[in-house]
Amino acid sequence: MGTTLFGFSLRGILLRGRTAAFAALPLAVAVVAVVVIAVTSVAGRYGVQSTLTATLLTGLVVPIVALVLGIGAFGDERDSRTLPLLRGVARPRWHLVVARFTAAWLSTFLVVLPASLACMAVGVSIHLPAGHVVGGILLATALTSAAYTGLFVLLSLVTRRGLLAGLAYVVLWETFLAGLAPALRGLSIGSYGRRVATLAIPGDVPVGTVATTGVTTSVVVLAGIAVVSVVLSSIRLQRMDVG
Amino acid sequence: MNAVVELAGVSKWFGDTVALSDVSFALGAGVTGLLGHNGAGKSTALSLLAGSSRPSQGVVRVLGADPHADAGVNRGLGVVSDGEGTWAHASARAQVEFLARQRGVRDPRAAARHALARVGLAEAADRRVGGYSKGMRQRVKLAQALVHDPQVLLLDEPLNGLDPAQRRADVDLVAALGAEGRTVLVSSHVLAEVERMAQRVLVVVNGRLVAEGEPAGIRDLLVDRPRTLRLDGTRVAELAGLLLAEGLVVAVRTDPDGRGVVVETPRAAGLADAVPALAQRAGATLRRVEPVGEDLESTFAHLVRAARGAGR
Repeated sequence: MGTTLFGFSLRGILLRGRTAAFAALPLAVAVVAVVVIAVTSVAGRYGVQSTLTATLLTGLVVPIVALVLGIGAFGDERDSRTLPLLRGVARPRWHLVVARFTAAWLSTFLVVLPASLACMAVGVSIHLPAGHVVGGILLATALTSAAYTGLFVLLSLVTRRGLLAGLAYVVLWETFLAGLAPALRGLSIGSYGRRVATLAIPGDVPVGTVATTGVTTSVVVLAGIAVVSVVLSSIRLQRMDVG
Repeated sequence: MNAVVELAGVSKWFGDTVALSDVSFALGAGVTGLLGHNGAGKSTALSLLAGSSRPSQGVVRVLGADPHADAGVNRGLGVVSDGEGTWAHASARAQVEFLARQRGVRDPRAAARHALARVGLAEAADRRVGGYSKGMRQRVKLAQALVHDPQVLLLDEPLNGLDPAQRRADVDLVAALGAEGRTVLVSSHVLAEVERMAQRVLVVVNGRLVAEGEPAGIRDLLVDRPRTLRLDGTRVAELAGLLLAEGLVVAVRTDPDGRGVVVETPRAAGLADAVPALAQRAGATLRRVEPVGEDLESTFAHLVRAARGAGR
């Protein structure tokens, strides 16, 4: 797959004013982390590390940024009526989906990076193993971003009201309904993401709604959601009317 | 004629709305105009040919393949679609070059330079398209469609948003593209513009193809038909009497606003030919001859009736 398709997609996402606006969210988390490190004792930071990593980073910042950038991957093309142009290139449609997904995923990862780095800083400051902290947070951020972005890219191709539907999903399902019963956690991307993030959180601190699977299975599930979403998006783009 | 573009028994509906109904035509090299009022189905037909949508029924072929299923068709197909259709964040050069590369052009940079020069955007090519005027964005769309030197061009209202000078230049450009041996289908709701570009015209009304032929023939169909006309001037009542006696009009009445007389003619072209001589006989001086109560809808309604009568 040529880099130009990816590069054009990435520039399109990163140059949007909306992307810069939503970058404020992870920056706010970073500011909170800096203040926490400055004003609280090491013991006091244990609970904060859990809140920052599990609740704010994995449960709020990643899904919201992935929602905006993932839906925009094709939603903005629909709005500006450039989707027929994109679909009209002489390449298999899955190339287009992979390029758009990868661009949206990488953009999400980059935009939330300040929040990820802040969580790492707090984790290291409470003397957790640096490898676990950095690896756990990077893995959780990357995989949760991939799963959410994939889902929202698919949603942008299924409905013109993708942003609204995605917001309802994040707010109602991920933050509320999925926590009501253990069986529902298996249908929550966030719960798998938090399971991976537990690598970077002290073992005796509660981390909210977490999948009942192990870390390895959670990694596979998150990657699987992303791959299946990309496959379904490719099928959808091949079959749908864009004009 | 070798059919490069073909619709065979094509219908397209959206829920209960029928956008196209059993439309068939085939196009070879040269410019063909697709004429119809807003909402007639022109954009739907072009969208189907561009592969942006699938027919609900029937077969669409472009360059021998299904344009919706086969992305390879896009190597030989250039499209100017209705609506925005440009990336505001990118320069004209960047997006035209991007599309050239994605359509398999060997030297995308040179192709983009050539296409942008051809549409008169060489000097503004490095500015962000978001800052362009509507006319300039329309030209970017034309450059996007031309950059890979396609055999088939589908142009949906390409003159929208252009000033008169630009319109003239683009009419010449479209005519030249057809003269180069390309198959060009260009939609418009203005017959005069289509006449200057196209050797053949298709007329679509309410999703149905109601007439097709040379522009002159279509003009006759549109002009030489029953019409109501107001004759304003001196001694127009006498003139109307002579027209009635000659059988050129079937009804005469006084204009309710006191501006001459209103006549109903079954054949407007015949009336136009006869009026100068009859006005001289009647000693009438005409200030104005104008249609009464006409709009594009009534004109196309006439075409629908004519097409039914002719059993097209």
